[in-house]
Amino acid sequence: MLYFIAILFVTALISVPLCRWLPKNGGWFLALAPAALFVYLCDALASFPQGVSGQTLPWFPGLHISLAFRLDGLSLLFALLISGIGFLVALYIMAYMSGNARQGLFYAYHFFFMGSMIGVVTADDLLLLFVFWELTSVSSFLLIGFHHERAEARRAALQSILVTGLGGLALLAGVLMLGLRCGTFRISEILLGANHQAFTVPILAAFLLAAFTKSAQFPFHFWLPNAMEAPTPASAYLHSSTMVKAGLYLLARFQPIGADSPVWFWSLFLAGACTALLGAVLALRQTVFKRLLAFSTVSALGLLTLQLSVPHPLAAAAFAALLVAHAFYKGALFLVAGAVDHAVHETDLRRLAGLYRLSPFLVGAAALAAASLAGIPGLLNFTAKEFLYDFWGRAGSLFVPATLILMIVSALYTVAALLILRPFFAARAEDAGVPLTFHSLDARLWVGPVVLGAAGLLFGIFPQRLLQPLVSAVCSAMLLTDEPVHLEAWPGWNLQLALSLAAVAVGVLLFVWRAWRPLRKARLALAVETFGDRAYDGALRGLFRVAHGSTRILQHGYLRLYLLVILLATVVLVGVPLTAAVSHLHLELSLKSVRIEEAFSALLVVLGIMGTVHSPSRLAAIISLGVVGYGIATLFLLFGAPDLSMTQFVVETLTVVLLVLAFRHLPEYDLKSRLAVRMRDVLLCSALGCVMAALVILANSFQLHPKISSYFMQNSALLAHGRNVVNVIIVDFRALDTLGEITVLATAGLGAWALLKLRPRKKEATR
Amino acid sequence: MTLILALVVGGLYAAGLYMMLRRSLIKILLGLALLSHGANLLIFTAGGLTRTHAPLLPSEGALTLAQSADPLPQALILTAIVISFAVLVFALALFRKTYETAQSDDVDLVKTEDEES
Repeated sequence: MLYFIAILFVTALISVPLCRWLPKNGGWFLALAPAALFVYLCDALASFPQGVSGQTLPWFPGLHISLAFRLDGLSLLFALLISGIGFLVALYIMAYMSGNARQGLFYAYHFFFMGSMIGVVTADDLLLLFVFWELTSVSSFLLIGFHHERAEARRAALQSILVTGLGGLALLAGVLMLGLRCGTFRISEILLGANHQAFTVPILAAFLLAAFTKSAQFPFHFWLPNAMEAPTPASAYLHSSTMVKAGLYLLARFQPIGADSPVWFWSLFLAGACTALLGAVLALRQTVFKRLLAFSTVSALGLLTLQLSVPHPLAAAAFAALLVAHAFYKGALFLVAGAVDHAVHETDLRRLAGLYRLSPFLVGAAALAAASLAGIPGLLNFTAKEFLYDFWGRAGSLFVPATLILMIVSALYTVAALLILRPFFAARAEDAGVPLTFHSLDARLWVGPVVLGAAGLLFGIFPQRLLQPLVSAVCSAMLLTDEPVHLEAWPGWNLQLALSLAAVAVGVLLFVWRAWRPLRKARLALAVETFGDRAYDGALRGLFRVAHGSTRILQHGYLRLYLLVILLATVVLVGVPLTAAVSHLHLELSLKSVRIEEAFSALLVVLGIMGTVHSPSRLAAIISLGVVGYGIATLFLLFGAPDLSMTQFVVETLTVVLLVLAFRHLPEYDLKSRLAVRMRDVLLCSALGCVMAALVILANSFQLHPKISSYFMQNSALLAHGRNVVNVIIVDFRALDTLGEITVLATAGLGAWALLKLRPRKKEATR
Repeated sequence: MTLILALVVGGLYAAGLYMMLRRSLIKILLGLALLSHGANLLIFTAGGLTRTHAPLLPSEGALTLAQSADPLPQALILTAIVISFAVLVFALALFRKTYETAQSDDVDLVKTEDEES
């Protein structure tokens, strides 16, 4: 798998230069990559039970993270859809974006996304899964915001990456918790270990948040319809078969260990049901072709989530069938929408009419896909729905609510299908505005929809042949059993069929009566459509307000207040443990060993300090500072450091001279702070002084490591031929340090010179 | 003696920080100087005080660590003295320029906000 992902990424890299070189036909070569992958996957499916293949390469061996890939039934289903539809979309882009200078870039994003998506569904390492998951978010951001010159596209792209990014963060948290809890990050090991206690509620919540944001489940459904700002091929690809299905993949993958918790069932059932109903109802309010499809996609995702709430072979089979059916009909419809837009330059369903003139193939594809959407017998979606009815029919008390949801959603889908089909066959538009102009339709624009529509038909007629292997593969992966599942194209006259047909009939009636006033009023009364969007805006505004507020409080710009915080933190965090440590020390408090000259030097320093702090005049303060320096220099001399002492004397003298020279230009010394403020500072600084004193005492009381200085003592004369060890250390053993020091000195000198000598030009100075 | 020097270090830190908390530019500068003295003396004292020889090897024979002061802290402090001098000089130039430009040595009056809200 790694090789295929690498090939897809390489394809993404070469697509820009290739499309510049072959602006018309470059897409043919680029489409080879997904085609090859699709063929490889079909081959893997044919040999399936043996087809579970894995591949592991070390990545960060020290952290036990590896590039582990595994292709089991579930991965296979998703990867087939990703590569197959990806191939068709790649052909479609060629015609859709022809003449666009940024075609190559679009291809690059497309393949980048495809590679990431394949990575998500085949990764066998939790962290690898997370990495690819984030890559899909990033690449979909690029695809949705492709027309970045439009503000709406930028907003939609940002919204999608913020919402899915939130889920990504949750996924990271969940993945880390799960991996640490199970002791391994290998997904297959976690699943086979089947540790049913592995999914604690926090882990479950993190995974659900990730899946729900990615798959646009209520209440995160709002980003998907907005993402219709993307160019149509991207919408078709992202929202029919790939990006939004990643969340479903995650749920399906971890169902074996997650579904034991009642939280799993209730959250999936409720979120799925809400999303399915909400999406289906809101879809009917839409007039723009793509937005209608987007809301019906939200609804279908809800149904699929609902299907994952219970681990059962029939539920898994229904999930797989519905997933494939949805990918086929929704992919076809999105591509049809793009083709219509490309040929007529009109996206409002109410203004479209007479589309049968475009191309018989396009009309046929649209009809097949819409029939599948409506659930007409003979098409794949019908077969999938039979499964759903069949499964929920055995679910006991859940039968009534689940069946009701299914019927309502199916009826609304029928209305949606008729709304979509009407412009193809009606001669006159509902809302005739500007007369439509028909442009010729490139064959590559209808090939994709025709293939997908026909696939829906073939799979629906021959489910045993075509769908059976896929469904069994998925069941074996999701339930870890090999229980065979039987599929029938025509189930015979039974309750499920009656329910299906009743739903279709209700849908047709609703469509016919759609102009009926109470129905229209009810449709218009639903203001929930923008609810999610408004909540998102509010949350974003709130976030900015919090950021502004906290920045204003934390970054106030007063140096001394920053210092105060640091001081306080040091006193508390260092001082408290230090006090505890020092109180255990046996301190020798005798002053007998103190010599008179030492005591005098220390006193000199203390007096200097007091003078510096207290002095009312700046000259006295500077001289006091000099006294401090001379006192310290004397101390150095007394304790065996003549080099230090000499340097200190020189530097101190220089400092005093410089300060006195410079202070001629500085103002008088005065007290600026109030007494209370000064008292507060005195208290805090005294506390810190005590902490530092304690630190020195503690440092003297024990030794952690043997001193390395003996090395310098022994080798100074031997290796460096110098007898002043301090000097040898500076110019030889630690010469690089000294070089740094010299550089600092030179830089500071240059800086000071520049500050004092360089004047702004006259013009700027007078400004 | 260690105890006395420890207290001196504490005093240097306290005084240096107190001065750095003032609003006057000059006092901040003097505080900076006191603080670097404190840091130097901290390293010196923490490295162990000894009244024996300086780490100067005799022209013949060797000198062990037990017989002399520790050379390593001294080398570090030597570097630190020079660097703090450089910092002081630069700060002095900077503060003088600030005073010239802002006509005030009160940091609260000099303060500007990057972002005008």
